[in-house]
Formats: sequence, C-alpha cells, structure tokens
Amino acid sequence: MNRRNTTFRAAALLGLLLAFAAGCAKQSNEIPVGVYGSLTGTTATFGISSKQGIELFMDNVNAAGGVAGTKLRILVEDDQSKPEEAATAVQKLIDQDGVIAVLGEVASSRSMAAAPICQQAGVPMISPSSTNPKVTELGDYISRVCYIDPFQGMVIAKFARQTLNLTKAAVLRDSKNDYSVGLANYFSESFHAMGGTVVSDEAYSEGDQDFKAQLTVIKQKKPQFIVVPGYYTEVALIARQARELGIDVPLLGGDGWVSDRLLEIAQDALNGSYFVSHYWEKDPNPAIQKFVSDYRARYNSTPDALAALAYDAAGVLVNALETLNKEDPAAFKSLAGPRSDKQKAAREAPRPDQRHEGLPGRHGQDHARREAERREDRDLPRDQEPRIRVRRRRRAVGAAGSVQELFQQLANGIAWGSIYALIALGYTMVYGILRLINFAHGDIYMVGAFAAYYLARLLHAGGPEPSPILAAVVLLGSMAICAGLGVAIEYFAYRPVRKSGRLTALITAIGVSLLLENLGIRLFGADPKFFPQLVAPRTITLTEGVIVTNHQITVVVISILLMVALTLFVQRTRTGKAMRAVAFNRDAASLMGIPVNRIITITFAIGSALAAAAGVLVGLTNPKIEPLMGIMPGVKAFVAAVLGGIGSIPGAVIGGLVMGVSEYLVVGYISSTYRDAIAFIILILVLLLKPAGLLGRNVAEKV
Amino acid sequence: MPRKSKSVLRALVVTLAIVAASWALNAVGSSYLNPYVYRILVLCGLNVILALSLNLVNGVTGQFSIGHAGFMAVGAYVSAAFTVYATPRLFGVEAGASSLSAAFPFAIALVVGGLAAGAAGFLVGLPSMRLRGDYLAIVTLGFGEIIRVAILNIEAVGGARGFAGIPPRTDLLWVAAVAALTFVFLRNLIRSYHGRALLAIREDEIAAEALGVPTTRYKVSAFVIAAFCAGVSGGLFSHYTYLHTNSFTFMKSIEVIVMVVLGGMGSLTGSVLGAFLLTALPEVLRFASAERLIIYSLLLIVLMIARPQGLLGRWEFSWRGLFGRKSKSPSEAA
Repeated sequence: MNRRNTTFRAAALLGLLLAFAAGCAKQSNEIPVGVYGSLTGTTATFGISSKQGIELFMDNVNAAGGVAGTKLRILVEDDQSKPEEAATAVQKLIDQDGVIAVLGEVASSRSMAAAPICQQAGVPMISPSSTNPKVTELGDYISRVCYIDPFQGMVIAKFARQTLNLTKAAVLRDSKNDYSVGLANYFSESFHAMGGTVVSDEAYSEGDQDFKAQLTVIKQKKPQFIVVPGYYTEVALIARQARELGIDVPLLGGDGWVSDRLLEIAQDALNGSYFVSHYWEKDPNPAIQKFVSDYRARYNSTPDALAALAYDAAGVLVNALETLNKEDPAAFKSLAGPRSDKQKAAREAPRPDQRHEGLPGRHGQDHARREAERREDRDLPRDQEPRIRVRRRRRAVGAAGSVQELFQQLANGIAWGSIYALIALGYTMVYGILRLINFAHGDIYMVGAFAAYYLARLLHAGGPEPSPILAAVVLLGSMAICAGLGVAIEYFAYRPVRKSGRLTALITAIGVSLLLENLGIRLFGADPKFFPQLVAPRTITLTEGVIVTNHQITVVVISILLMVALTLFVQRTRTGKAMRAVAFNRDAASLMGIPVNRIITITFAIGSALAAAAGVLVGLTNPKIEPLMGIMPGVKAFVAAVLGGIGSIPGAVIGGLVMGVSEYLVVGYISSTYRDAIAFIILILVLLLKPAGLLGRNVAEKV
Repeated sequence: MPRKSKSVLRALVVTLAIVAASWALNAVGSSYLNPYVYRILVLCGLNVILALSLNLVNGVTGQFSIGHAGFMAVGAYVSAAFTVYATPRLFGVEAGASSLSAAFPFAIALVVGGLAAGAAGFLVGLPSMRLRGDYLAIVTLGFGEIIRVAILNIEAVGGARGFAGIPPRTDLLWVAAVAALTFVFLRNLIRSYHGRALLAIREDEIAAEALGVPTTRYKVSAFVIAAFCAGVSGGLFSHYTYLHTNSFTFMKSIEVIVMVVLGGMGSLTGSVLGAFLLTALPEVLRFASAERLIIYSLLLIVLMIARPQGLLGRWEFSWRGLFGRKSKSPSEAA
C-alpha cells in the first residue's frame, strides 16, 4: 500500500467531515429552543417520550401562531444516555445553534453534566424530570418542573406508615441508577424517622431481566411491603416475579412507574400496589385529558410521566416567553432576530438582567400546578379482578427456612443459567470455528425475541388460551429468521474481513452489534414491549417453599433438548464432523475437500438459531423485550463460554449454569449490589487456576 | 556535556516546548474558537491519550485488553477524590481557587490518579503471565466491570448519583500538553531497546522468550504504563465534566479499541488520527439525529472491510515521509 495515497485519503476524509460540519449551520427567523435527551442508549425510551412531550406542546403553540406571532423552533440533540455526551450536546445547542433556552434531561446525572454549561453561557435550562436536589443548586439559570427525591421519598414513607399503617419495609433499588438510589435513600431515612424499619435492602441493575434472587432474599425477611423506586421498565417484571415466588405484599413506588406499559407487562401482578406520581393519565382534569388524547392521536401511545413533565417544561418556557413579551417587548423581539455570530454576541451582552432573569422559577411552579396537578398516593385502577391466588404465607422455621431458600435460589439459578448456556453455545460454536468473538450474538438474541413478538401477533398466538402448536411455530419461525440473519451477517460483514486479523473482525462484529441495536431502536421503538404469553403461566410448588413456574421448566427442558440435539449433530453427523475439522484446522480441512465456507455458514445459522431460541424463552419467562436487552446477557454469556472453555459445547453449558447459579448464590448469601462484579471475580479466579476454562484444552504452543 | 545530562536537558526542552505550544493553543482556542469546537478538541485530546496508551498494549505488545475504561475510571475517581478531600488540607487550595494557584495540586492529583490506575494495571497485567488472547481480554473486561460496581458502592465518591463538587480545572492547555507528552514518551519508548522487546513479543512471544526477553515483565510493564496514561486521562476527564460511572462502561473501552484499530494497530499517529476522527464523527453526524448511530455503525463496518489494517496500518505519519525520502516506521523496521 502506498503510504502517500493513504495519508491523502485520510486527509480527504477529514476535509469532508469538516465541510459537513460547516454545512450544518442554518439561518431562520424563529426562536430556537434546544432539547437534549437520551434518544439512543440505555434509557432511550425516557428520552424519546420527553422529546415527544415537548414537541407536542411546541407544535400546539406554533399551530396557534407561536408566542406573540413568533414561532418556536425545536432543535433536538441526542446524548446517547451518557453524561459527557449530554454536556457536549448542550454546548452544541448553545454555541452552534444559538438556542435561547434548553429543555432536558431526564436523568439527574446528565442534567448535572449539562447544567454548568448553561449556567456559564447564561442560557436557562429547565429539566423536566431530574429529581436529584443538587441539580438546581448548580446555578440560578437551572430549574426544574418535577418535585425532588426527598419529597417523594417522604410521601412514600408517610403513606406506608400512616395510611397503610405498615412498619416493615423491604427496598429493592436499581443500584446503577441515580434516581433510584436517591429515592431509596430518602425513603429509608423518612421511614426510619417515622418509626418503621427496613428489613431488607437489595439491589438490581437497569436492564436486568431476572430479579428472583433478590426477591427470594426479601421473601425470607417477611416485609409488609416492598418499595421499588425504579422505572416501569423493570418494575413490571419485578412485580410478576414477586407474585410467581408467592410474595403477596403490596409494592410501592415513585414517578418512574408511570406508563401504560407498566400494567400491560405486569398485568394483575400490581393489583393492590401504590405509587406516587406527578400525573396520572386517567385523571379527569380536562387539561390532562386533552394532553393524553392529543398525544395518543399523534404518537399512538399513552404518555408516561416523563412525557407529561416534558410537556410542562415546554409550557413553563412558553409561559416565560409570553411574560417577557409583555414586560419587555424589545428584549423578546431580539430573541428572534437573525442569528449571525455578531448579533448573537450582541444579544448575549446584557446577560442575566434583561433576558432571562428568574424566568423559569417565577412562572414554573404556577404553570406546573395548573397544567398537571401534583398527584400523590394514587392507587392503581382496580378494574381487573385479581387472578393471582393469595397464598398463605408459610412459616419457615430456622434451618428449614434457609434450606428452602437455598433450593429456591438453586432452582431459579438453573433456569436462568440455561438461558446463558443457550446464548453461550452460539458464541462458542462461532468462536471454535472462526476464532471470532461474535459481539453481535447478544443482539441476535434480541432480534429473536422481537421476531417471535411480531410472529405471535401475526398468528394471534398470545391469546387467553394459548395453543402449544402455535407456540412451537413461533419458536421455530423466530429461529429460522435469526438463522437467516446470522448467515447474512456472516456473508456481508464477517467474510470480507476473515483474512485480515482478529481485531479487525472484532471491530466489525462491534459495528454489527451497534447497527442491530440502533436499527432495533428505530424499527421496534425504544420502549419495552410486552411479550405475548405463548404458554399460560402457572406456578408449581416443588417442595415446601420452593416455587417455580411452568415457564422456567419449559426453559430448562427446551434448553436441554437443544443442547442434546446440538451435541448429537456435531458428534454424529457428517456436517458435524466437518465442523469439528474446520475448527481444528481450517486450511487442512479445506485441503481434505471440506467446503469451509458452507460449514461456516451452517455454524452461523445454528448459532443464531440458538440465540433466537434463548430470546424467545426469555420473552416467555420475563415478558418484557426491548432493543438493548441483548447487551448484558451477551457479555455474560460470553463470559460463560470462556469460563467453560471457549470452543467446547459441554463447556458452554456448564459455564452458563455456573454463571446462573453463582449469580443467585451471590445475591442470596453475599450481596446483591456485587452481583455483576462477583460473577467476574469468580471467572478471573477460575481462569487463573485453569487458564483455558473449565473444560478447555490447553493447546501446546507450536514453535 | 555527558550524554545523560544532555538527554535530560533535551527532555526538559521538549517538555517546555510542548507546554508553551499547548498554552498558545489554549489561548487561541479559548478566545477565538466556538466553545463547542473547543469542547470537542478537549474530548479529542482525552481520547488521544486513551488511544495512544491502549495502542501500547494492543498494537505494540500484541496483547488484547478490552477494559481500558476501567483504568480511566480509577484515575478519574482517585484524582477527583484527591482534589476534593486532600488538596484543601495538603495545599490549602480550595475548590474556588484560581487556575494558576491550583495548577500544582491539580498536577499532583493527576499523577496520583495515574499511579492508582497504574497499580490497577499491575494487578490486571499479572494474569497475562498465564492467560493469552481472548482469555486475557475477558479478564480485562471483567476488571472494568468490577471497578464500576465497586465505585457504585462507595458513598464518598457519590456512588450511583455521581461525584458532585469537583472543581473544573481541565482546559485545552492541560489536555494538549498531556496528550503531546504521552505521544513523545510512547514514541521514544517504542524506539528504545525496551520498545523493541515489546514489538518482539507481539511478533513472536516464544521467539522473544528464547532470545532472552523477559516477556512477563515487559507485558506487565506495558499494562502498567498504559493504565497510568489512561488514569491521567481519567483525571483530566473528571475535572472537566460531571463524573458518573456511566461514562466508563464497557462501551467506552470498545470506543477506544475502535480508535486504535481504525487508526492502525501499532501506529501512534494512527491512534491520534483515529481518536480525532471517532470523536468528531458522531458530532458531524448530528444532522442525522435519530439515524446517527445507525450511520456510525455502518461506516465502521464499511471502513473495516475497506481498510482492514486501519487507516494508517502500521505506518507512521511524518513530514519526512510526506515530503522526503521513504523512511521505515519503527514498528515496520522491527
């Protein structure tokens, strides 16, 4: 390769990028308002509903002629759910687009990253839903519409202690989420002060699918209620799994619960539970009903609390602009002036005094109150008959209780480990043959779940009386779709880079993974979907105090069947033999007349089909699917494959089961906050003792 | 003049020149550049340090680390904690102090953060005695996750709510100076006797061992040096923007690897180019709003297929190479 050619190309690319950047600046005679939020990344669903709430309000204002005849222009920037990106996005909005105010963010950590920039530039920022008290302490330009964590925590505590007259609480918090941790702390503080006790404080991580380990621990402590200060994306599954384990006490939560997805996914599992919220979509208040029907008409979904708060934040800003127009029309006019840099500078000269003084604070509260009256202690609608049988709480006496707990944890750990094992099988097959860590594998698992979701809807397979035949059709159909996807990915992305180094292939795999995730957000929507019940749920009591669901048993049985089938295929068939040969030595296999490309294609098809099966089975047990659901299981299944000895089929199964069971035991007997970390610590210890994994062979190095 | 003092003098002159150039860059940048562009330059600089240091492990030594964000997190939190808790007591410099009087304690905080990250690098590097390839990779990945979980559970640094109240000390001067120093240091290291040993390990570990290269010691050293640099970058990061563990996820490590591979494994100038391109690319793609990351990932795949060896491959970009006779890059010469 000619070096000068390369340098030239790199320089040309750079120039192109700069030209693009320069072309992006636009001119207009409207008032530019900035919005930043997580349109992609782990909390994309919250960012998107906030954006929609703001757009709805602003478009209504513009349709009515704007503020004093001047229209507002919304500029939306994505922060990928990362704090430093939020700061960059806001800096861009202020300096590149010259916005006069900024609306956002949902997450307090991201609001706190962006707030200093707004403060420094003298641009007001209104956060719709950052509840950490510290957010608005960052400066007088920073304000918010929502209430703060100490208030909400106190309300939950007061309601539990005084209205429900309960004294023993358990807390299940999202330890990686600032909102959840803050709310949990303030609740515990208030509840203690009111004479209550928190008997159990467990943790999970956002995006988790499985909470039974923590819930089993909580169950043994016999709380009278469980506070789950998280987002509906996880709360719905927590409620279902709590009921499956026979926990019948009410769950209490905060504003993160508000979404129609909550009841769609949880179904009757939340009957008799309570949450605190700013807003409730069934509120008869005409302003709210108008908002809900407008929102439904435009986005075809019911607004959650974040959309409502964002709608209000936009309202506060418009209210302020109207006031400014009344009090100082000249200053208002200058906001909409043409935006060359010089004029922008001139506009910024009379900083705090004239343009934005006290603007959000002064009008914010009144507006918020008028628009969406603060709702406390709102009971969930009870329009459905509770179908869950109330189980008598069994008294666990001394050692018997802990033995039961152990068995319960083991049973759930095996069910969860089977899922890891299924995903790990695909990893290990592809790795065995190509020496490629197929990072997209976890995302194929996600696609499998979504393929099954759409297939089930197409076939009406998730009705009240599900048919096992349709369920099998959905499972096989999803496996076929993903097999095709896996083959396509191999053909278009991996085959061209197969000869050019393992890191290159790895980056390509990462690219494919990102592509699937972001396409998933775009095509399926970022909000979690309720996976139809392909098999009617039932709970089965194995022995005294050990409860599993028929879904978990299905998962284990199907996993075992697939693993046996795969082992037989690889060990007993001609194609299987060819696969082993290619894994052993690709060049030699090729010389022996084995069609290497076809074998690799088959491997990808099988591996992807297994991932799809895992996706469907997860949908069955934990009926919540979302585009980013494959990231953590993908990483952990890879860890499981390495733990068992990558390239070995029984190793992947053992690795998956060890991971599943050890996660459960860690939560049960060490600490749920260290669930993810301890899985890795075990892995590192195993690898140090057996560097090639549990069943891996140590290949002698060739000289 | 004896040779040793001559080289010390040279190092001093180079350092001073870098600081002066960074000072000038910062002065020009803060008064003439749009703050948005300025911010992106700072982020580019931070990523340059990360990519350069990861290149030492992945590109030059041929090891496979996918936990660089973990080292960055250690450096970020340790240096931030040092600034918040130790600086007022040791140096009597409060959070609101002017940037000049805070410069020395800040430099100390950066070094402390770097040393802590280096110690972590030592711990992670030790398994490389026994583990190879993907097994080592998974250990580094696990380390990154363990660090993140551990930080989430330390209330003194804010836990899951993020570490508030760190005075902003980082500007383009600091970032550019540290990035340039890292570049010069790594360039000299690779061209030295020790660098040749690292390259030998990449090319053939067994052969290197047979020729008397203490491979374990070199591999661990590479990890420690890379971790130190990542820690310093983390320290600069934590004094620039809000500190929260979400900035140091597994995806951050992946981003840095992509910079290294895209720029060209083993090419330092390639890493610089990769860091600049991949920091600027998502910004340039902002016009595509919701499709931004779809385009980004497609570009990544296409670039890898079109240029599997990275943009610069193993070549080093140099003026002499552009305008003068052909000279072999150190990695190629090895």
